[in-house]
Amino acid sequence: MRNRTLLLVEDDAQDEALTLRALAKAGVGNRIDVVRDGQQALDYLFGEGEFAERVSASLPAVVLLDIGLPKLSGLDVLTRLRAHPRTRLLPVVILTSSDEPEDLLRSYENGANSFVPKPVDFAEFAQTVASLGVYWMATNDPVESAPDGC
Amino acid sequence: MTGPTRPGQLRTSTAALRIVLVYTIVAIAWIALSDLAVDALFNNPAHLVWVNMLKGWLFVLVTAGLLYGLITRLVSRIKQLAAEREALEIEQQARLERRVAQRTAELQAANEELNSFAYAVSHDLRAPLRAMNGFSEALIEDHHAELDPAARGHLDQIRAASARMHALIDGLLALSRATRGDLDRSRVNLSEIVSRQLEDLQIQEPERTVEAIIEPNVVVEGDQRMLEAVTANLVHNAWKYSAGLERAVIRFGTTQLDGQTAVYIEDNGAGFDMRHAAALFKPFQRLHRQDEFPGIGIGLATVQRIIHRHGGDVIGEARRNEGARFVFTTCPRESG
Repeated sequence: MRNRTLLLVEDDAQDEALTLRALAKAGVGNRIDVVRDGQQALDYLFGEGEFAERVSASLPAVVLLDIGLPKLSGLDVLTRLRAHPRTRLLPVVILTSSDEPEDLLRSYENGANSFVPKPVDFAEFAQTVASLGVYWMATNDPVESAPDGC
Repeated sequence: MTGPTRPGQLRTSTAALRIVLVYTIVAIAWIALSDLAVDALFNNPAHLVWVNMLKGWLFVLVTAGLLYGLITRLVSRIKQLAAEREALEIEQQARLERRVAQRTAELQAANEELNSFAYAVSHDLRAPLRAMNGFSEALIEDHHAELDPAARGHLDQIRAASARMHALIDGLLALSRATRGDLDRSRVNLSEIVSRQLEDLQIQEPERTVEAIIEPNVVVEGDQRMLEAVTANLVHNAWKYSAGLERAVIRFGTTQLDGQTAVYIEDNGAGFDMRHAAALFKPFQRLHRQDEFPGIGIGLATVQRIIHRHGGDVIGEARRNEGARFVFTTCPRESG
């Protein structure tokens, strides 16, 4: 695997621990950054606020984005990312506890690359996260940096 | 009542009689008084002829004027009453519309509340469950050697409990989802759906021998997706509660419910005690212990919600160890 970063946007500390564990078990050795609310996710990706030093840093290979986030929901984050030239082509996977048909529809409408409900059963969850990690970090080829819109 | 009072009643026969009476009284008075007046004022017989003629013409003029006045008054009274009635009808209509709008808003608010509740359930209650499940698993994976069989048994209990809670949450969501969305009525062939659902169950449990007696082409009007959920729950129950019988029989067909054509699904299984039937359709209420027949008690609550949403009725009848029978309609009684 190339030296690419995965950004996990997750407010639940236990889900975070379980996700990291599953990724590690699947042999995903990439650097994994974690942010815990919608605003932090935007700051991280746009290099603003507490992440001002990241303004010229390269984007992660994929963002695993929860929907139920404090401050700014995952769907709002997604809409902002798609509206910005820097992040409009960034691969975003919605990884959520919800299996509401409406969330699924709105995720795709807002430009999600994938929608994955988190299984409650841990064995299934680990399997799901592992295959996501391997696919998006090793198999998928993202646009390295989106060409500026104008 | 806060609205305007009802408009006065007008009886046409009374009004006409009143006009005739006034006319008669005036005419009688005129005839009596005018003759007296003429006698008193005019003594010359030569004048009497033209005085009498003049008196006759005057009579016609005065009574014509009188009739004109009386009839005009009556017509304007009729017009006024009609206007009052129309105003009242408009007011009543407006009040009715306001009430419908208010009820609709209340219903929408209740629905939205239910939706956001279901949403919270689906998002927020699942995460802690995943954690319970996940960390128990992690404990087994990472510390297997240090755990004695008793400790592993306790962990199994934790995981069984979280699996059960998972089922409860999914059931709650299924219940709230069952009646969300628009009711899309079409003609639905329940016989085909029930046959398919029974075949699926037979594939899942090939060791069971169940005789299915299905009346063909039972077609009802209703929402296809919702009615599939209804029969799925009833068929599944019939299947479940007839387990352990050597000769299980599940029947599906049409019958009558309060004089209306209805559909039934019955089995010859465990049944239930009719003394507890009041709890039958309540969410999370069960008439069997977990060690008799496991379950979460959401299926019949879902069935009842869907049937009520259709305006229909559902009843359950049973005898202990002789089987249960569920009968439902999918249309309000007036139109069905």
